Amino acid sequence: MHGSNMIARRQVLKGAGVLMLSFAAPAFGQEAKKGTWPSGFANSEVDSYLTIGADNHITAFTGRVEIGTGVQTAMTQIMAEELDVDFEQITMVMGDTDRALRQGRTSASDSIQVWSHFQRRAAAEARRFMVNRAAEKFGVPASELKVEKGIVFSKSNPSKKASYAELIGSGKFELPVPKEIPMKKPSEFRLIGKPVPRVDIPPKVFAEPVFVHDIRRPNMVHARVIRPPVPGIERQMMSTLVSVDESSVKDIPGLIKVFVKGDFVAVVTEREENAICAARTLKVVWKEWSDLPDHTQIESVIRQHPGKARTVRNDGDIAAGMAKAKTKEEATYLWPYHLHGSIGPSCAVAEIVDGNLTIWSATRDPGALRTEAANLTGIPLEQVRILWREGSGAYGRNCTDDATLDAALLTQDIGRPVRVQIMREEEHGWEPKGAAHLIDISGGIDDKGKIVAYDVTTKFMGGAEGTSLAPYLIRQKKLEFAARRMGDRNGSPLYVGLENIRVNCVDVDPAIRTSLLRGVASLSNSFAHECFVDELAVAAGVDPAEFRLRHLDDPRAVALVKAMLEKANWDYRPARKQQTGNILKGRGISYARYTHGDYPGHGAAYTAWVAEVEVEASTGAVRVTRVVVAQDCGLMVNPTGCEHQIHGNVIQAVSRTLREEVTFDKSGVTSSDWANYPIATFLDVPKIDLVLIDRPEEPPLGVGESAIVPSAGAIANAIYDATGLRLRRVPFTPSRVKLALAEQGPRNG
Amino acid sequence: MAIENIALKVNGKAHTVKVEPDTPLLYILRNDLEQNGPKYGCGLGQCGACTVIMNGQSARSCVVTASMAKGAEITTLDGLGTREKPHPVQKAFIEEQAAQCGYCLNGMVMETTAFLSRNPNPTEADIRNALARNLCRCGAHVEIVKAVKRAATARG
Repeated sequence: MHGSNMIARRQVLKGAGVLMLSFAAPAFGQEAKKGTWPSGFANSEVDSYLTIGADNHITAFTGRVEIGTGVQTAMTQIMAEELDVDFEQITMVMGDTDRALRQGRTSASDSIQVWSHFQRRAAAEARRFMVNRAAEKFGVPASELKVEKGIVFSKSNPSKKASYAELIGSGKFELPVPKEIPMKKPSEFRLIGKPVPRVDIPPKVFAEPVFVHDIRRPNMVHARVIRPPVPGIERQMMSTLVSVDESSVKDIPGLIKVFVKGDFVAVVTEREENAICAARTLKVVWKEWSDLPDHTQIESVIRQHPGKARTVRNDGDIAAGMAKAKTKEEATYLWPYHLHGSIGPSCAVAEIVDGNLTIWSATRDPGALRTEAANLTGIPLEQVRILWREGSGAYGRNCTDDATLDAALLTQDIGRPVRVQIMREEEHGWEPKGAAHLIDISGGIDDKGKIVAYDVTTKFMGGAEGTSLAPYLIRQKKLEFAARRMGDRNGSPLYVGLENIRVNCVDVDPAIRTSLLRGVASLSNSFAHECFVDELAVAAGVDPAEFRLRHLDDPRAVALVKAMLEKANWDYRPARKQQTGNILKGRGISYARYTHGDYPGHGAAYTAWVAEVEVEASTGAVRVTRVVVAQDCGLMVNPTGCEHQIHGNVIQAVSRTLREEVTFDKSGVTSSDWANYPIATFLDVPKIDLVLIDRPEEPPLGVGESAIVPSAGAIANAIYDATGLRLRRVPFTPSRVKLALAEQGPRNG
Repeated sequence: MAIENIALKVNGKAHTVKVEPDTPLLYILRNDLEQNGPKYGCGLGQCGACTVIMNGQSARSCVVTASMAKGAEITTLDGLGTREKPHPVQKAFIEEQAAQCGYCLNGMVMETTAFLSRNPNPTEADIRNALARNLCRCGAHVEIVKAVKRAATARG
C-alpha cells in the first residue's frame, strides 16, 4: 500500500536485501550546476537506499519529503523507470532520520531538478548491479539480459530468470553511484512523463491517519504555548516575561502543568479543549514593546531600514546611457509582507522512551531539525529521531519547526507524549513571513526604441532566517541570523540587447520574522522588471509582447513566448485602447525564468503569462478573468503533476497580487485570521489555459514555484491596459485601484 | 463548567462522551472518537477544514458545541466510504486528483456531499458558490470543481 510511511515500515522485512547507494551529495545550500559535478565529496553518508523484500517489493528511503506537490509520486516514477519495475513495486519512505539521509531541505522546487538526477543514476546503478549478478549466475553476458517487473531474464531463453529478491537474498551491498551511467531514453519511457496518479491522495480521501496532526500516542497530553506579545518580531521576544500567575488557571480541569522557562510559557492539560482554555485564561505579564515603525508607510519603513549595498552588475556607463536617452522612466515598486498561510496550523508530537526522543514532525529538513532538537534538550544526537509525517502545505517555511521543538522541550519536562498544536492566530502572527521588497528602477530608451540605460536598486527585507523559537525563548541561544543574500534573485532583467545595466542589491538584517515563500525575491523582482519593461515598450511605441520578443535570444524562451501568444490570441497593438463604461478590460504579458543560487544563479523553468482582467471602475475591484500560462520545465516527470502545480501557483498568485498584505501595529503582526487576511476563494479563480512545452530530452527543471514568478507583472500590465493606471504596489485592492482612478481624473473617451 | 454526558451518533454508531457542554465537537470527534477526517484549521468557522454532516446538513465542527450536538447524527469523512466501497464524491476526488497538500480535502468532500444532496444538478457557478467559504491555499480549485461535476454526473 502506498502513501503511508507507517504501512511502508511494516513492509520492510527483516532479512530483506539492502542496497546502499552513495553519491557525492551537494552539501546543504550548495547548488548543483547543470553539467558539473559537485566538488569535494563532503561525507560518506549514504544518500539513498533500497531494501528488497522476498516478495520483490522495493522500499526506497529518501531524505526528501512530500509537501503536497507530488514529489513523492514523481520520484517513485523516476526510480521505477530506471529499475525496470512497476510503479506499484516501490514504496517510497520519506524523511525518517533513522533510515534516510540528509538530502538537505526540501525547497527551492529543486527536488526534481537537482535530486531526481541522483535518484535516477542511483536506480540505474542498482539495476546494473542486479543484471551483473544475474549475468554471473547464468554465465551469460549482461547484454543478453533484460529486466521487467524486477525480474531479470535472458532474452534468448526467457525461462532463465531470477527476481531482484532472488539475486540479492539478504545481502547488504554498498554501491557508489557513478557520475555517468546509461539511462533510459525518452522513447523508452514507461513511467516518466506519464500522468501517474499521486500515491498520497487516496489515504487523505479515506481519512487515513497520514498527517502529523493525526498522531495519537498512548498517554498523550495537549499543550499550548503562550508567546510574547510581539507577534512576528523575533528580535523583541526575549527577556520579556515579567510574571505568570498560575493560580489564574487553577480551576481548569485536567491541568497538568504551567511550564515556564525563560520567556517560554506553556500550559499542558489532559484534554485539548482545556489546553486552549488555559492558554486564554492564564494571566501572564510581559514587558511591553511598541516601537515598530508604521508599516502602512511601508516604502519609507523599508528605505529607512539599515542595509548593506553591493553592486552585482555594472555593465557600461549608466550616466552616459541616461544622457543619450530620449525618454526616461523612473519607478518604485513595492511588495508587501505575505503569509505562507497554511490552512492547517502547525503541529508536532514528541515522546521520550528509555531516553530516546522521537518527534513526529512535518518539517522539510528532518536532518537539521534533529540536530536542533538534540541541542535544545541535551539528548545525544543518536538518541533523537524525527519521524516525518505530512503537514499542511507550507510553500516555504511555517511554524512547523517551532511546534517540533516546543513538543521536544515539553515532553522532556512532562515525561509523557506531548502534542503541540499551534493556533490560527499564533500561526498567522509567528509564521516567518514572505518578505517585503522595494525595487527602484530608472532607465531610458533612445529615439530608435533601444534600451540605453537600466538602473536597478533592489532591497529585499528577508533572506536571513533565524531558527525555531524555543531555544531563544528559553534563553539558551542568542538570536543570530545566517545572512543570505536573497534579494538578487532575478534582480537583473532577463532581456538582452540592453546597454548600460546596473544592479545594486541592498541586503538587510530583517526586522520582521521572515523565511522563504514561494517565488522568493524572484517573484517581486520580476514584478518590477516586467512592469518597467512594459513602460519602456509603451514609450518606444511597440506592442509589449513584440518588445519582449525583440529582447530575448534564448531559443527556449522565444519558443515559449510565441506559443503562449498564439494560445492567448494576443491582440498586437502598440498602445492601449481607451475605454469608457464601468467595466474596463485589458490584457498584460510577463515573462520570467526562475533562478536558483547566488547571483547570477542558474536558470530553472521558463514561464510566461498572459493575464486578462476586468476592472470595475465604480468599486475598483479587479477580476482576473483568464490566464494563459506557458511553461517549459524540460522533462516533465508527471505532466498532471505539472499542470496542477501551475494551477496552484496561478491561484495563489491572484490571491497575493489582488488581496494579500500582512498588517502591523506598534507591537507586531495584527493579521490573525482569514477575516482580516482574506485569501482567494472559488469565486476568484480565473479560467486557466496552459501551454506545456514538452522537452523530454532536456533535464527536468522542477515546477513547484516557477509559474508564480511572472504573475504580478502580467496582472499589473493588464490593469494598465484596461485603465491606463500603472500600479506599482501590491496588493491591487479595490480601494487602491479606486483611489488611483480618482486621481487619474476623468477618462478620455 | 460541569461535565455532562453527551450522547451522539457518529457514522451510525452511538457514543456517549463525558465533556463540558461547550467543548467544540471537533475535539470530541478527533480525540474521544479518533476521527481523522475533520481537521483543525482555524477554530473560528472561517475555513471549513472541520466540516462534518450533522443531521443531514454540513456543519463546521469547530464552532458546534457538545450541547448543540446532543442527540445528533453525524457523518465524518471517516464514515463516508471505504477503499472497497468509496462514496461517489470520494471516488470523483481521487479520479480528478483534486488535492495538493490535502488538508482542506475533508471540508471540500463533506461540503460537496451535503451540497449535492441538496442540488444534484449544479451548474459550475452553483458549485463555486457552494464552496466559496471553503478555503484552499494550495490552489486545487480547478481540480475540485471538476471533481464535484464528476460526482454529480456519477450520482446520476
